[in-house]
Amino acid sequence: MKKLFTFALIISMFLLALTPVFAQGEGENDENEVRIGFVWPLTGGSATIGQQHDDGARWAIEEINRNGGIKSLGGAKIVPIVADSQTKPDVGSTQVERLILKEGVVAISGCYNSAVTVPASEVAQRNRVPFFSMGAVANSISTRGYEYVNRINNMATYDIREMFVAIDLFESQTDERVKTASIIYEATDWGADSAKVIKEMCADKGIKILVDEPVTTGQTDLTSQVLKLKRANADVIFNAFYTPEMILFLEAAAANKLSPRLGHWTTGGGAQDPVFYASTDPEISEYIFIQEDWDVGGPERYEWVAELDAQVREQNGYPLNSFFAQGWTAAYVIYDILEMAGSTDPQDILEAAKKLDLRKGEGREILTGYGRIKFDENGQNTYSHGTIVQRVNNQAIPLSPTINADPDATPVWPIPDWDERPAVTNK
Amino acid sequence: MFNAILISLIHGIILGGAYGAIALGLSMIFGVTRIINFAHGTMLMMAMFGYYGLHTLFGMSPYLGMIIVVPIMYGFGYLVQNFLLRPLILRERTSVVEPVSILIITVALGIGLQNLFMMFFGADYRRMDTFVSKENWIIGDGVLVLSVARLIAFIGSLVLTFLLYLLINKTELGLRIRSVSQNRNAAGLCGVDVYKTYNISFGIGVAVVSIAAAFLSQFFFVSPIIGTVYGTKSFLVVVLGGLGSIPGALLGGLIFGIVESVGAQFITSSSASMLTFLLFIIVLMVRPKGLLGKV
Repeated sequence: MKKLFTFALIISMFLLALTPVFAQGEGENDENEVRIGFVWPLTGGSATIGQQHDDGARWAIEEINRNGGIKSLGGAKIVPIVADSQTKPDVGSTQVERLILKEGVVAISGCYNSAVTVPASEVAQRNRVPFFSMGAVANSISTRGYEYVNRINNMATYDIREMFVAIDLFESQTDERVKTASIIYEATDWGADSAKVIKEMCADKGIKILVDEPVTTGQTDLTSQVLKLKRANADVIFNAFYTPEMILFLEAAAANKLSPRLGHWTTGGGAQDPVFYASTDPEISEYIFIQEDWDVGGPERYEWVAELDAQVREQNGYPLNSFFAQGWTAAYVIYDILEMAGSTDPQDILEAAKKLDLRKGEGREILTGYGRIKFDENGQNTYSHGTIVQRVNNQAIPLSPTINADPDATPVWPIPDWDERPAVTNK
Repeated sequence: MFNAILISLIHGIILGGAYGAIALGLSMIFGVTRIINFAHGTMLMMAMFGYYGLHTLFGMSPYLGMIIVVPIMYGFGYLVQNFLLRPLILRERTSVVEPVSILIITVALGIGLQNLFMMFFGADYRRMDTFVSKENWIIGDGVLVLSVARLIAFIGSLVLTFLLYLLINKTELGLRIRSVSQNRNAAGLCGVDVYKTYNISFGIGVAVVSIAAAFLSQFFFVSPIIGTVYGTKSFLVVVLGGLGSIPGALLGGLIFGIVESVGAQFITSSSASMLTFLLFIIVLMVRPKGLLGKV
């Protein structure tokens, strides 16, 4: 009896282990479908961000399929095969490999986190499957000479350059000058790359770095770091944090009245996440400058964006933002490339990618802040850029570059002391 | 600079108190059952969600919510020990050390529950707006700013440690728990129901971490990933302080908090974290059972 029970248990566990195999299907593209892989951080520290990317991609794919699918492939429907990187480089790499070898995807997009995207794209390169990076800004992603890797979004150098262009703009409009800076950042590829470029640009401008503070993820408290920054008293503080650390940092900064005279400047990350704003008081993020990948003025300029925004708010409970926009744009870019290629052969896809030239306003592909998508010889979309916004009265006011700026807006610069700030009325 | 050290020392002590409170339950469970509960962080997370639910649905403060959540978590811990872990202990009762399968079961439990909560509640970071969550005690025109919620957590950790110490050392239940932790076979021969004592001890350990969760939920966000963040730290704190030692857990937490906080004033916080691990290694090399360990 005991042996029979043990045998039955082993068989049950074996069948249970096999169920994902049956659930996922054959792993090959049927004639009427094309499988595209997406790797996002659906769990872990960037989970809220990854889920919004996933939402954006799925919404775009539903729309594409509703409109007839990939016509050059006989109306084939796109089937998204989504994998969770868990915000971990090793898991992301393993998932890319699984998507390629087991799921038979013809192209992959992802992975948002630079620390994940760098090794994961290498796996795609090695397996000769086109990889369209979205979200990650580490410079190396498009400077390694990987022919199978293209990047749709901006790189760290662009992000930081936009912040300094904005600073130059504000300096030209006022008598203020940034002479000192502190940098605090999450200590993986994104934060480290951003910090490196910030230091280079500060050196070019003669700005002295007072504090250079890498912070490992998984922190429970950032009060000590805030005290150090407060003691340094730099004109500006640059930060690069994902959502959990952004919450901890800005809350500790608010509690300890840390307010750099010429502002907090963040390269995005958690400050672009609607969940950050839903979880915190608006006072803590008042007056911060954010390098947004989202076209803040998009809903006002484009009717279809306004309609989409209303639909997403109703169904998903959050407004359009950088992360949804990136997922949406990534899906549409791959669709356009497949439409042009008329084939799922990797070389045909890569050739079509070289010819891709999308312009904002000519279709529904570009939901992000870029004016154009065209890959250069390194696979980098050199037209990708964001918008520098300032949070004023709990709203994001676009200030730079001019193409995306609110013409009637001026920055609040310098930043008022905590005791002199007006109350936030827009809650 | 002296001011900076003093201020960061105070912050470190308060931070360490929270670490200690969270680690207490883990130390308690190991001290009696010799089980390292790898689901400890997940149970912290579950309790935090319980408080969040009571606050959102009924406007109940987590301090008051303890009346409901703590007994439920005690019951949960009791049942986990009785139905999940006890069969394994019974089967392997002739072995000198606790079986590896128990460690793996607690790992699986932790991961399974975390993913279950992720599935039902998503990855969003939730905050509770209570009467203390945003209050600060400001001293000296902003020279020292102390979060009231964190201060309460620190005081709570001291009280909790003291109460647990009293329970273990001054009550009949504590006598039974200590006898089982010293020698379960001999305790059994003296008429102590060993496995029931295990159940109670595990339940108390989980109840203690749920009390810590009430403090933590006032100043930290509630999310399924919280367990991973604090769970890892708890292990380090408990091993540093001494597995099985109640005051050791608090001491370990305070040391971690102080080193992290004061260290970050002079070196980067990444390096300060390295410092805590270095300290951890040195202490274990000099004193393998931890600072106050009795194992």
